[in-house]
Amino acid sequence: MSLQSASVARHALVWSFVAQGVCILPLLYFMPYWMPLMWLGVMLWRIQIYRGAWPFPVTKIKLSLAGVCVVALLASYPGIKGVEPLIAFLIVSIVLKVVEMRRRADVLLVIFTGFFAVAAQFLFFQGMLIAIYSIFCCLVLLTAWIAIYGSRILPFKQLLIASSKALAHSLPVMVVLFIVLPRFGSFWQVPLANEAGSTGFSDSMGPGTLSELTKSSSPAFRVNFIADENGNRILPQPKERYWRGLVLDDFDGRQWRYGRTWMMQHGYNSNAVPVNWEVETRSDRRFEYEVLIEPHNQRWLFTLMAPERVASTSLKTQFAGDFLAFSRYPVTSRAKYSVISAPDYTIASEQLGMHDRSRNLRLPEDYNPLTVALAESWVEEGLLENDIIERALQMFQSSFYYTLRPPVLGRHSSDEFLFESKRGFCEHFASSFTILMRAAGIPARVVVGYQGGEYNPLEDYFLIRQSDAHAWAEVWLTGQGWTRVDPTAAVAPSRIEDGLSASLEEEEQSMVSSGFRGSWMSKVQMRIDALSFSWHRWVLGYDAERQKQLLKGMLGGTEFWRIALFALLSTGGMLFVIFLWLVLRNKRAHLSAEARVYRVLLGKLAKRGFKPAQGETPLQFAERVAQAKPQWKSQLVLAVKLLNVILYQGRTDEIPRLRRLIGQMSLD
Amino acid sequence: MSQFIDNIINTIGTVLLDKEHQVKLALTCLFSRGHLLIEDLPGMGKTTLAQCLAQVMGLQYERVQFTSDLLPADILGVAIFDRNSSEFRFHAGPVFTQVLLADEINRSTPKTQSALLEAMEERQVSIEGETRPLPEPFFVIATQNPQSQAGTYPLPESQLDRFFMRISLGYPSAQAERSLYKGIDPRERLKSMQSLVTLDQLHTIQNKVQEIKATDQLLDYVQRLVDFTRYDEDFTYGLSPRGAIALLRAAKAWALIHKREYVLPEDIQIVLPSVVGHRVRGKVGASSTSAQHASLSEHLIKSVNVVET
Repeated sequence: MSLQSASVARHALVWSFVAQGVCILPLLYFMPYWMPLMWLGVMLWRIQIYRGAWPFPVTKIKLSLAGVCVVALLASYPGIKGVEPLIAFLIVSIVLKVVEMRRRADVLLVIFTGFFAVAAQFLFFQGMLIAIYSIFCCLVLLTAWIAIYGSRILPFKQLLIASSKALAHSLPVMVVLFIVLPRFGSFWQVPLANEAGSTGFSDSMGPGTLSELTKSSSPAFRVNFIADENGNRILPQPKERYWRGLVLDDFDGRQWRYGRTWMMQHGYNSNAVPVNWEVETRSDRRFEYEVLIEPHNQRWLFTLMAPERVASTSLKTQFAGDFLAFSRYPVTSRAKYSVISAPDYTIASEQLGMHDRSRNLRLPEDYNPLTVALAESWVEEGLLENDIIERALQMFQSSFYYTLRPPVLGRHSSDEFLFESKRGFCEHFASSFTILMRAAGIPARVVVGYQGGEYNPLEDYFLIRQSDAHAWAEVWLTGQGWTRVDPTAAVAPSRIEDGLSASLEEEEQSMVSSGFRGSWMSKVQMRIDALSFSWHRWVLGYDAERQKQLLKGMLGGTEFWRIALFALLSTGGMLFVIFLWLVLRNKRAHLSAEARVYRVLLGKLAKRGFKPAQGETPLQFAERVAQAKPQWKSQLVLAVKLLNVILYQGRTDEIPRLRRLIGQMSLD
Repeated sequence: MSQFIDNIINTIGTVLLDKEHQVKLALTCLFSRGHLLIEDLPGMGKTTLAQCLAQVMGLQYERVQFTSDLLPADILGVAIFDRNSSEFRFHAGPVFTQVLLADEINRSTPKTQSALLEAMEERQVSIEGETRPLPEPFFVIATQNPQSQAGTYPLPESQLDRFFMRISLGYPSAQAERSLYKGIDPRERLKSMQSLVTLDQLHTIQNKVQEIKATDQLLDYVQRLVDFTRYDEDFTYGLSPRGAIALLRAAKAWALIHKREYVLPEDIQIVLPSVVGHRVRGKVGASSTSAQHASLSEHLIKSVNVVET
């Protein structure tokens, strides 16, 4: 059976279907709905061809089929953009190839295109599971390849062993290539599809915004803290874990907004906080940490107050006012940045600029009259700033409930919350508190971000989920500057110390999708998340910077010759080990003493350019050599006769004599 | 003992000129207690070889010319009613002999062919509910025309397997043929031929074949050869265990003829085309002509390492 043989056998057909299916299955999820149908149709068609029911399509039909598919693609992706249409085109082409599999060579072609589909999977997913799946795909493809290539039908187990071996041989090479191949940055990055970060908050906050988020347990970001040179590492206390995302200072009566969106693009183009910002640090305490952020399609980054430096190799980070850190472009793929924060800080303690002051005092007219009146009554009582804050917090503490199911609020949301429902989530408390402060003449603003996080001891990092989303307030106090005040802490202190679900009534805890805290399931979940974190950190996060570090650590430098030598020696070394193993296993172990002595003779002759042909007996070989070199004849004939006696008369006691004889041979 | 063998070969050589190799192969077959199939064109000396062997061995000899109307009873014998004793008496057919020449076996119908082949295999004949053993030794030399000739019923593979060896004599060399023209008819010489071996001596030789030594090295080689026929894609099907045993036994007999007490790989290689040729079939093309088998055997020999190093 040659590759050109005219028909495709049944097992080859089945293997090609299975292999192709396995490879394109994850991709089909992102493809238009008609594509799986087309795939099934093509398979049905090919089966009918195999059964002899239908003929192979003629060129006209093939051309029109391709035309229809291209039109369908254009219709499904109007204004072709991004990577999906191209992948869709790839899949259409390799699926259509199935109907014109006439010969075995065509089936192999289908198998080979499957490898492209496997590579394309990484444009949609980059997780660890898909990496495992892609290796599985390669295994299936290799098995199919071997099954189709072989001339006889082999048992499945044998096929699997052969393909596993081939795959196992390639894995070490893959690792070496992964380590040494240059990491290109955004220079030729392919736009990854579907990185659309799922959830996360937007740049505005109204009642109910955050309580929606708590239903999602998907990770927002992960943080690992780095030890300083002395090996000391400071972790923030639970009440210090305020991951600041955005400052909302623009209130329209209903929604809080980030008022200075232009800052996101035109911030201070520097990794460090500008020197003219009025920040004083009161101690040497510093948090140094790396944040691995999930794509959220927004520009803001999360930091602990007060950040001093933000740097990243994959993002263009910059600072905007109010100590906010931004990426210049939306974070559309998982990215990493490192931050240094000084937790003991004072900001703008002396005085607030006129502009900033008025911005943080502004309240819309005709909204929440009762709230404003309450705050003004406190001012009239002659209370000072600190007392007013104290009074507000006391009010919350005395008669308010922290709940995930606050009643729906009307136009004067703060009034209704403060004087009627008295039940709310963190956004209600933060919003009302800020309105109270502003009405009382204290500059104040709402801050949104995340609070808390779960420590994972397996890989030593904090996992911050969407359900950790939180809102709090910042007020400006004379002499102290901007100060964080969390009204939620007054109502539900356990929210800050122990996380969200601890602070809720039992019946509401089930609404919080924070995983399975406390049960054995949580341990499993923690382990899975730890694995995924290591994957992101070591595989996906293996960028040019990390590569440089690793190569420096391993090779002592990153010169080209070092890397080339390393790649050569490591792959070569591994191949050599495999080679040795094969040689030792196949030859030495099973080789009898008789055969070894023949090897000695063969080695001697091989040096002089004589090798036995396949199927040549020792005697025939010796005679052939003697014909070319008559002067060796007597020695050779003597040796081979003795060899025959040893090999075929079973006279193993003659082996030493033959060895001597061979040793004394003078062949020149 | 070895003198006998040399004597036999030389004596037959005076009749069958220049065919020493084929004579040796035929003796190999006889000493291994196997049956021989000679495939050749008419007039090449097939009958002469069979007669020579019988004569030299001092064996009883019968010849059956196979034709399309030959019936099993014509070979095996038949029970006939005897009026004097008022009972059926068995008249033994020509199969009850020590050397049977089945001439042009492929010209008879399959029914008759299989009657003979069963007798060959069982070395006994069952007729009228009675089992009758065949004489010892029982040696069948069947001849066959190449299948391209019209009016033949080619033997199926399963039947061919019953033959220990298949050889073909081929045209004589020019020199031998010339002396054929000049000299007296070799068949005249045949009549004056003396038997050189007694029955006991023949038995001794046949038993001696079993004692020839085959080392593990050699068995490894045989096993590699057999494996190759089973897994190489040029072969439709591989060699059966019966074929493998035949190969080894033939090599032993060949070694004995050459006065060796152990088998060399050369012995295997020499007897291989005759023993294996009719037991395997190549994949390309369905017709199994001798030429193709020869090349298939050659392919087999050329593809398997003699010593695994």
